[in-house]
Amino acid sequence: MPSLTNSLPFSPAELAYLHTSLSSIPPLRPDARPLSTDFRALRAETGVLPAVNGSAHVGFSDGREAIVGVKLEVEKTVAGNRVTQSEDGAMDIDADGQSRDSGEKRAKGKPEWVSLTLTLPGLRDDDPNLVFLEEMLREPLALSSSTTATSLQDSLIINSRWHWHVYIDVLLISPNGLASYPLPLLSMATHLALRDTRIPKLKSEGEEDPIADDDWMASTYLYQRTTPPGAKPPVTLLIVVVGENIIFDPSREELAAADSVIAVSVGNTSTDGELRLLATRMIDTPARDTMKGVPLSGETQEGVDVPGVWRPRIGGVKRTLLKKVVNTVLAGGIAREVMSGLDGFLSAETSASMG
Amino acid sequence: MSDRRRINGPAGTTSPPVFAPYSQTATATALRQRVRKPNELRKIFLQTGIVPSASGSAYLELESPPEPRLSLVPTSSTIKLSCSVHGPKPLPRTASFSPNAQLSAAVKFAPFATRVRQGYVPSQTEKDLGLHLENALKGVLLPDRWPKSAVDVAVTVLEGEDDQGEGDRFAGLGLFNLLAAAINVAMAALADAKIDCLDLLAAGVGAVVPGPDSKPLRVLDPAAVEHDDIRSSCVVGYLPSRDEIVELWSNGSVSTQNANTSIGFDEMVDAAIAAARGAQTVIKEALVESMTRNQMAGKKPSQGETNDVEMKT
Repeated sequence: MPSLTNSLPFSPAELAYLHTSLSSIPPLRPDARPLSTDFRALRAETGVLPAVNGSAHVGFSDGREAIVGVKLEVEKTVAGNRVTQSEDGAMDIDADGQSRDSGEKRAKGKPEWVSLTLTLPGLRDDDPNLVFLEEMLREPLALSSSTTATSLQDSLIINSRWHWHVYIDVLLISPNGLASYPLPLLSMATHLALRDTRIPKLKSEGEEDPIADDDWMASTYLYQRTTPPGAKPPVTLLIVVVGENIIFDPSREELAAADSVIAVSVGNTSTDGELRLLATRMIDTPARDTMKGVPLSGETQEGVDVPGVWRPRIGGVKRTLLKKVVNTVLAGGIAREVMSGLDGFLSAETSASMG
Repeated sequence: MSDRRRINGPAGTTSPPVFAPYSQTATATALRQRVRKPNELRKIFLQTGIVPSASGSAYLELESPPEPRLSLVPTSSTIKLSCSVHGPKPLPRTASFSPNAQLSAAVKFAPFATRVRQGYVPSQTEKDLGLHLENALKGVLLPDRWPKSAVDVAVTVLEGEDDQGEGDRFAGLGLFNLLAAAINVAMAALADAKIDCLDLLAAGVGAVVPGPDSKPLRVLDPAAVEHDDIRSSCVVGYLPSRDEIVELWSNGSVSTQNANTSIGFDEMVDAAIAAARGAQTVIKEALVESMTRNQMAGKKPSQGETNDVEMKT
């Protein structure tokens, strides 16, 4: 990955020092965070762009910033999707089973109604790493919905002929490029922007062509802010595995020495308040393309690991360690803490704007 | 963007004809159900050494038994992939120095791979799949064997798996099956090129679908057209002898581990690993057969020499 290494690379001695510190129990993090589940401080604000339906601006402590704008557009539903099919099924008078089937099947949107673009100055638009990041952010948003869970595209249906199309545009300003993997920054910024998004109220009813109300104060939130809380956009956490340790929110130094990097997306897709695992991905670790260290005593035997001399890890992750990662996110309460932190920020901003 | 170097087809996508639902739609839907057992894989055909100019090559087919066509919309769950490996070869002069082999993988769809014609310009889906494949293969390669070298892996999708009767875009389970097949065919091609690897990498897909009585059921090697509702799915790249996972990609809503009644993430990963073990036996048999064929070809000159010796006598 040439774009990941446009910053200054680490030497084998630095990598060995970082890996030894991070793989000790408890892990010693280079920025002196006490716990492996500690997150770095971030600044956030919503509603920074007046020309869009929703916006957010999130900055991290190391200088990276992300600005997200969400725009909605009314689109004509292409014939042949399931909304029309269920309607056609309901209109069929002959079959009695059709009415039962159409009652069971809920109207479903399509994942193509959610578009996400990511722009990083200095990087080409068709860079594969940028496309990988875009799909990683877009995938938990627009899951293929099943009978038990709904997705963002299901709430975009106006009627059987029209729907909303959501365009999420992310602008990333980062001095390090993609080296410190800005996935948590982009994920939290996208989360806050989507919760800030408002849909204009429609004057039209039923199967009419949609006409929006001119009163912007009558618009409603795309993700309802009700009590009890409804569905929320997903948040993607970045986790690294070093030795037997699992470290959350890795910095650039921790990413450079990681054995494996895993992205876990969690979200609240129903009204029961339970967080669910929406998507996981494994990311290529930068430690695979590093130079091996040379021991001080000259030539050693092949395959013998000298402690303190850097050697990139070959292979993958143990199965038990991978399950431990997912269990720590869900059952360990990390996802709940992150989501409650974002909820607290939105509550503080809402009360600040009201006061 | 339009590709200026080629004569492109019509701008925009072509729309397949949309037929009215058949009067026996319920029967057709019932026939589309999965007839395999939950732990049964589809038949895999794998052959190596099909491209003579490549260092290594492989061809993979993943097909299901043909079903009677009650509706006019053709839905199939067949995957046909071709893979070629070039290298290890020297890096170009402009590339920066690296002490490890630089592996790059690309997945390319043929324009006729889906029911809706795709153009020649690589889409986001292809780049995403390419990076997933690259991540899986980097976990199995020994990079310090070939310093300052490059290994190029090119996977061509000749026939993709349709997804849920709508052939306009790949999403979800169809991509997972394609990635698993691409990892398997790329591993066979790497072994055919005789590139040193850590283990025989294999990939499999597992999913959680509603079974009888609407209880969650764990299935191996799911096909997108065989299940109306897929709650979650997972593709795993697996090293069997080391019991390690080099690639993981899951999708769908998985509940927490506290709920004992529903199938969680662990069982879904185990289902994908079981599918990967089944695929690994096929890769192993294909490689053994290819090695036997090469040894038989190597014996013929010695037989000729024996004939020469006999003629001299």
